This record gives sequence, C-alpha cells and structure tokens, in this order.
Amino acid sequence: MNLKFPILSTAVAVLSGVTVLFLYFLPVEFMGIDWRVTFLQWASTLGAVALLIGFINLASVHGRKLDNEGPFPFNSLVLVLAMVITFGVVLAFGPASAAAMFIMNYIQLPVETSLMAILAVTLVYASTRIARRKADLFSLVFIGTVLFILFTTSALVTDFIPAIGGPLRAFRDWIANVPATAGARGILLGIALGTIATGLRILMGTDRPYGG
Amino acid sequence: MVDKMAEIRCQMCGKTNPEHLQECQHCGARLKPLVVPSQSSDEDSGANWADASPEDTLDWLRSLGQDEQVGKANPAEDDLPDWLRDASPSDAPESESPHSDWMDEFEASGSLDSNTFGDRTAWSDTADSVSKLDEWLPVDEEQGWGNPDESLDDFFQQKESEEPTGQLPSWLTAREEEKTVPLSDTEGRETAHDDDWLNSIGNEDSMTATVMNLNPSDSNMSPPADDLPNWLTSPAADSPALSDDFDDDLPSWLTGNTSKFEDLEPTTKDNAFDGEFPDWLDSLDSKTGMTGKLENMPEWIDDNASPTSGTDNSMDWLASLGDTSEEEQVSEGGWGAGMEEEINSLEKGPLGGLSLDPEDSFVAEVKKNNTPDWLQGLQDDSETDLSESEYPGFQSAWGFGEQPKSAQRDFSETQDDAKSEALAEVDDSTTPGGLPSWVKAFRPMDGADIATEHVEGELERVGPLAGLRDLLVPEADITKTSKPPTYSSVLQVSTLQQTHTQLLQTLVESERVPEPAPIASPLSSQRILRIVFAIIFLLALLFPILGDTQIVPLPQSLPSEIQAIENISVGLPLDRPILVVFDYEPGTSGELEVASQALFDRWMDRGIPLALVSTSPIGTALGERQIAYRQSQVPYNHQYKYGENYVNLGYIAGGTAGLANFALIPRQSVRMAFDSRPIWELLDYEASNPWLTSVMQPIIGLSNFSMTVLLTDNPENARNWIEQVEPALSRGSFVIVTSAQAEPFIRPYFNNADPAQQQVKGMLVGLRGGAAYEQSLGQTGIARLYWDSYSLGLLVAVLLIVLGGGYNYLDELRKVQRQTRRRKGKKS
Repeated sequence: MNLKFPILSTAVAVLSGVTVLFLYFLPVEFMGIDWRVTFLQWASTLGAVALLIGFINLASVHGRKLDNEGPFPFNSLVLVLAMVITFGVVLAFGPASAAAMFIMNYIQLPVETSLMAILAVTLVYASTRIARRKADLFSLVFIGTVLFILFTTSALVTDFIPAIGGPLRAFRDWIANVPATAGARGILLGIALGTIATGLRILMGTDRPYGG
Repeated sequence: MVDKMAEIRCQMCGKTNPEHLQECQHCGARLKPLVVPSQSSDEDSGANWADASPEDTLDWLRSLGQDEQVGKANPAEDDLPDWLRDASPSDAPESESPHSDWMDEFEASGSLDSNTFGDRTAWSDTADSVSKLDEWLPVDEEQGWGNPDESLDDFFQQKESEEPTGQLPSWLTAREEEKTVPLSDTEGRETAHDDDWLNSIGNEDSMTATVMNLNPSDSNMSPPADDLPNWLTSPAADSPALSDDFDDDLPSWLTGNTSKFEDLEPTTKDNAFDGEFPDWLDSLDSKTGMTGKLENMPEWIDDNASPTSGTDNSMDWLASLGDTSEEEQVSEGGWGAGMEEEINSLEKGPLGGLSLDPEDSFVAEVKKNNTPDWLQGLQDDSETDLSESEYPGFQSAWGFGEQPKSAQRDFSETQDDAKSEALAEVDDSTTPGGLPSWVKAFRPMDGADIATEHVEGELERVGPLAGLRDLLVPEADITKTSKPPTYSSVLQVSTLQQTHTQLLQTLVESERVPEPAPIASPLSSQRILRIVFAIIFLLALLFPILGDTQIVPLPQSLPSEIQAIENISVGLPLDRPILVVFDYEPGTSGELEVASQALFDRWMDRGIPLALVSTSPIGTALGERQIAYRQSQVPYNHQYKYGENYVNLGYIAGGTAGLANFALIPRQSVRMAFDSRPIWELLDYEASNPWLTSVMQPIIGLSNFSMTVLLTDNPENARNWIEQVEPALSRGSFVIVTSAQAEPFIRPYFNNADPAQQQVKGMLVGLRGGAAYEQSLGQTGIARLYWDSYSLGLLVAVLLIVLGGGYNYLDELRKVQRQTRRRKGKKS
C-alpha cells in the first residue's frame, strides 16, 4: 500500500506530541510512570545521539573528500585531524582536563574571537562602502542609526562632556528601550505564534519535519 | 489510268494535283511520302489482279521475292530480328531459289491447273498464315518459340469457338465470297478494308471451298500487293538461313529434340517437292524437328503436292494440331506457369481469335481424320518424355526432375485445372457481337512496328526461358551474389562542420568551468583601505591596553537591571549553589567574560557554591575556563575546588526538550559530571554523579537553586531558558548576562511594569554593564582595562564610517558627474 505519507512515523509524532501536551496541562501518571517526563528524556537522549551522528557524518564527509581525486583538501584534513585529536583527548583525559582546556583556551577561543574582531573591522569597512553602493534614504537611515548608537555608546562622548552626553545617552536609552524593544517584542510574538502554529501542524500531522 | 497517273489526289484535301508536284497546290500537304515506296505498283495491287492471268499470277508470286528485296530498303526492316533479317533474300540469295524453284517446277510440270494452284495457293496461304502468325505473334515468340504448333493449336481451337462469318475479319470472310462472287465483282473491293481478305479466310466453309476449287486463273487467289501484309509478301520463311538462325535462337532442349522427331514417321518418298521446306514449316520444325527436307514431310504434304489429292489430308495436320494442342499443353505440366501466360497472350494475340467453328465443314473434315502419325507420335512423345528426361536442363533448372512422380502427378493435375480455367477464359473472351481485339490488331501493320517489338529486349540464352525475349530481368535482386559493400562507420564531415562542432563543444565546456573571480590588485584602493582600517583599529584598541591608560572614566550611574542583580546577590544563601548557565560561543567570550567578571568575583568572594551547566557542548568548557581564570589571575585569588565549591553538570542535550526535561527532573537529565577525570572513570556512574557531590546535596529541583544566571549572546537561548526553565525556578532568581547585540531581544522580558510578571529579574549587558558593576563595587578589574580601548574603538569606528563613507560618496558622485560630462560631450 503506497500512501501519501508514512503512517507509522506520523502516528508516533502526533501521539507523542498530544501526550506531552495533554500531560503538560494534566500531569498524571499512567502505570506508575510519568509519560511526559519519559518522552522528554527520550527526546533528550535522541538529541545527544543526533549530535553524535552529526559528528560522525561530518567526519565521514571530509574523510571521503580526502579519498577523492583532484586538488588536495587541506581544510578537510585539518578538520578531520582536529576532530580526531580533540575527541581522543577529551575521551582519554576528560572534558575538563588540562589538555582539553589547552585546546579550548589556546586554539578554539582565540580563533573564534579573532573572527569576531575581523567581523568588527569588516562591518566598519562595509559601512563606508554602503554610500557608494546604494546611496538612498534607507541607507542613510541605517548608517545614521549605527553612527548614533556607536557614538552614544562610547564613553568618550557621553562621559567626557556630560552636558552633551547626558541627553544623547538618554536618547540612546530611549531608542534601546522603546523602538528596539517594541521591535524585539513584535519579533518574539511572531516567533511565539509561529511556534504555536508549527506545533499544531505537527500535532495534526500536516507538517512532518521528521520526513515523509 | 494514264490520267490517274498524271494526277495525284491529295490525301489531305482530296483535290487532284499534277504528278510532278511534291506538295499539294491547294493545301500544301506533301503528296509523295518521304519513304521509298514499294515496287508494288497499281498493276500489282488489287485493282487489276482479278483480271490477271495465271502467268501474271506467277509473276506476282515471283514479285513477292522482289518485294522482299525492295522491302529491304524499308528502314523499318532494320528493326527486324536477326533471324528474320537473315532470312531476307538479299542476305540469303539461295533462299530465293527454292522458292522460285518449286514455283518453276509447278510451271514446268504443267500441273499448274486450277486445283493444283488452288491447293498450292491455299496451302501457301495457310502456311504463310502460320509463318505470318509466327511473325505477328511476338508474344508467342517471346513465350514459346520452341512450340509454335501450340500457337496454331490455340489458333484453331479458338477458331472453333469463334462465331461464324459475321465475327471473322473481312479478309477471312472474303474467302467465302470468292467462291460465289463473280470475278468482276472483285474490282469493287480494291478499296475494301484490309480486314476483308482476312474475313475471307476466316470463313471455314469458303476456305474449304477455296482450297478445293481455287483456280490459278482466279486472280482473287493473289491479293493485291498493297493489301497484303508483309508476312504474305515475304518469302523469307523458307530460307535455310532462317532455319539455322532460328535454331540458334532456340533453346537447346528444343533444338536437341530434332533428331528425335526425325524418327517419328516414315517420310513420304514420293513427295512432289524436292526442295527445301517453306519457312512456315521451318517454324513448325522448331517443334517437330523437321528440317524442311522432304523425307521428313508428312503425308498430307505429299497430298498437297499432288494436284489430284484431296484436301482432306491437307488439313489433317491442322485439325490434329488443333485437337492435340490442349492435350499437349495439359500433358506438359512442366511448362509451369508459363502456360497460363501463353494462354492469356493467345487471348489477346492474333492467333487467339482464329478458332474454328466446329460446325464448319472444314473443321468437320479435319476432325474426321485422325491425327497424323507423326503428330500423334509427337504428342505421345511429348506426353511421356517431356516430364522425364527429355529436357534435363529444364527439369534441373526447375527441379522437376527431382520431384517424385506423385508430386509430378499432382503438379500436372494442378496444371490441368489451371489450363482448363484459362481456356474457359479464352472462350469467354470472344464476344459474339463484334470483332475481338486480336482481330482488330490483325490488320497489316507497319513492319517497322512489328520488327521493333521483335528486336526490343535481350534474348534469354540460359535457363528454362531460353530463347525468349523481353523478359523481366531478375538480376537486380537475385543474381547479385557479390558481397555487399561496406560503408565506413566514421562520420564524414567537412572541415567547416568540424570547425563548427569544435566551436560548439568549446562553448558547452566553457559553461561547466566556473569563471574565476577577478583578482584584485594588491595595491587597489579598496584593499589598501581595508588594511588602513585594520591598522587604525589595532592602534586605537592596543594603545590604551598596552599603555594601561585610564583616560575614559567608568560609568558613574548603575543601571536598574544591574542594581537588581546586586540586590539578589547580596541576599544569596551560602549553602545553596547558584546555577550558572554558560550558553555563549567562544567568540563572544571577550565581552561576556568581562561583563560577568565582577559578578563572579562577588559570588566567589562570599564563597557561594556554583553549579555550572550548558546547553552548548563548548559551554561547559567556557564555564571551567571562567572558574580557572578566577583562581589564577590577579587580582582574583579564589580557591574553588570541584565538588566542594563548584560542580560542572555538563551538557544538557536535546535543546528545548532537554531544557524542559532539565527543568522537571534535573537529577535524571544530567547524571555525568564534567570534570578532569578520564572517560573510564566517568563511566562509573556513582563516582561521577554530580548530584552526589556536597555542592548539589541541597538541590532536589531547580527551585532549590538560590539564583540562576544565564550567560548568553543568543536571544534564542535566552528565550528557551525563559520559556522552559524559568517557571521551574524560584521566583525572582533568574538573571541574564548578555552581550550588547542580544540586549534588545532580552530586555522585553525584563521591562515589565508588574514585578510579579517580570521573567528576567536583572540584566548585565556587555562591557559597559561589567564596567558599571565594577565601578559600583569599587573594583578595578578587567573591565577597567578594556574600557578605554572600548570607548576609543567605538569612536574610531564612528569616525572611520563617517570619513570612509563620505569619501566613497564623493568618489561615486565624482564618477557620476564625469560620466555625465562624457555623455554631454559626446552629444555635443
């Protein structure tokens, strides 16, 4: 029988979702087991297994690239070596060992922090180019807002000259608390509505992110 | 007559013209033909031949040979077949002498009475008719030259089934009239149609009478030369050369049969003729094997030679031919499918209509007499030997010799049925109302047409159809036994096509190759500008740090969100740990570590136990890093030990579901501690269970934590914690330390007018929040170290954006103006 959607996986997903939602409102036990907690534990375990599967998949993908013909995938080699070494070090010496923390403090953290520093320089450079690329009203508003926030955030402007810095700082707080918060709340409300709609669709079996 | 000769009547307008004129003086039509006229004059024509004496008749007969010589000049004769051309008197002078000889013998012997001459004439007519029929029968010639008597058989057989006089051609019916019409009446027939004399022959009664009563003196016996067809005027049939050449054209199986037929009948020694046989008998000779010699002549010929012999025997062989034709054809099953074609051709051919009426006396007399012995023997021999071994070549070619007798018998029966049907069709074709088509075609035609038909097509020399002409050539499909040509499998294209193909292939392949991005010059303005920006930033950020400057004052006022955190921290109990969540990435550790530095220092100064946890795999390491930093770096000198002062619960897997599970059953969701022990020691569940440590002893649920602090740079993580975990916490104990970029999304959970509904009790945002909190605590920590660099870096960034943006804007504006000037210059 060839159906339009997989019945088994859809039934499992719908039944699990409805059960967790029902037990969320009415936390009762069945057969001495809190099925809400049981389902959540299963989900957590599956999440951990999914992380492990992702790790294996990433290692296998770059491992296949090493076997392929063509230019040598140096980046893949570094990635695979880093994965193997880190995985081995953490398993052997523990996640909070000196070796693992060495990798963390002197490799991973400086690399990512440097990327953030480069991002800061790149954003400044891009802001200077925006006047050349697209000099319209929206660009001017964007650049004006950025300049104002940066300028008022700097203590050199607001704290050196309190007479000028005070109103600018107040204006900056108003921008952060009113317009920005209004926009953020709207986004959060949209996210909440979207989450509810998505949950209902999954519970009704209309949306099947698990496949099929 | 003289007047007539002096004037020529135009055949176009009908008016008379003088004889010397070439063209009609009235209509301009040509009066004299371009071809050489025949020597047959008006005296020889039917105009006066009725008045001719017997001597004149002999002259006329001699003139036949002369006509042949004259007829040689006819261009149409060039189209005659070889055997006919060779039979002409000019090519074979000796062929003329026999003809003249036997005529002379007639004359000399004084036996040229009326009966004799009449018999001779009738016989000559009949014989010439046969030879003429042979000439006129291209179909017979093509389909079966070796069996001319079968044509005669068909002829007489069809004659029997033909309607009486009224259906006969005129030249045949004229024979009947000759018997009763006075000679003087024949003058009126000089303008009669050519078919009249055929009709005279067609009447068997009159034919019989004519044969019986023909008188040499009767000028009607000699038809006018103009009315006579060529075959009657041609004496070439009795040429020996004709016989030889004809035999050459015959297939071997026919010519080889000659010796057999020589022994069939005892020859008549008292034959009146000692010369060679006429050509029409030569044509018969092809079947019977008679060579024209008198010793092979049948008895009836002897009777014909005798003036006193009756005519009964003279027609026996003809009747017998007609009688035996069907039997012989039926018996010759080996002829195969050619028999039906021959019958069909007879239906259309000139012989097809010459069937004898069985009611006629001629036919009756013929039928009364038995078939001559020699023909009977021929018939028997044909019936018996034809299918056996007489024609080995024919049989082997068609495979008949290999067939069993039963198969041959079946095949003969099949052929009998087919023959009967064919004969029935022939009989049905003769309609009683008018002349059949073959009779209409019987009228004398130009010899050129006939000869043309004879010479067209090649002669078949081998196989069962040897001797026939105008056959469908099967070589095209059958005899090609050569190996079929092999064609090259290589595609043959021209140079131009190859060029186009290569061009197309290049275009297609170029689509697959990614176009490399243009490499910017190392000294391009944009590249230099980026480098300049980086250098300015490095100088602005490193100069305060390396110079340990404190130019920029710390924030003097403490924000309310930080004040809320301070209020909570002041009243924290020392026996219950603070749950610290490290959910940020290492990239933002510089901001969050600095922001949370003063807060951690505050907690550690008081000795509040800490429980570290993270929803990020790297977050637990960042937590360890934070604790370790506080224990080693100056001015912090805290001595926190794992298990006693702090515990790392590790990673909470499962995202939102894991957080919900952690909020409900934290002891079951996190069971393995994140510490420095190897994996084999961590597999000991009891030894590695963090919930068994002294730090976590008072904790049963999340509400037992005195405070929960979330360090995150991701608004999504903050929302998950607020939605899933915050309800499980003790009220008013959840604070967030976040980055400046995530502040707008988290602040709504803090900014609530109703403190009871406030999900986030306090916030500490970025370096500015950490510096403010340090300032409030009176500490000089790392926030103070970064504060000048931070402030200067923001100002530099603003300046760079303003300056760089202004430069780029002006540069673009200048390019636009330059292009506008160029356009205007081109237009002007």
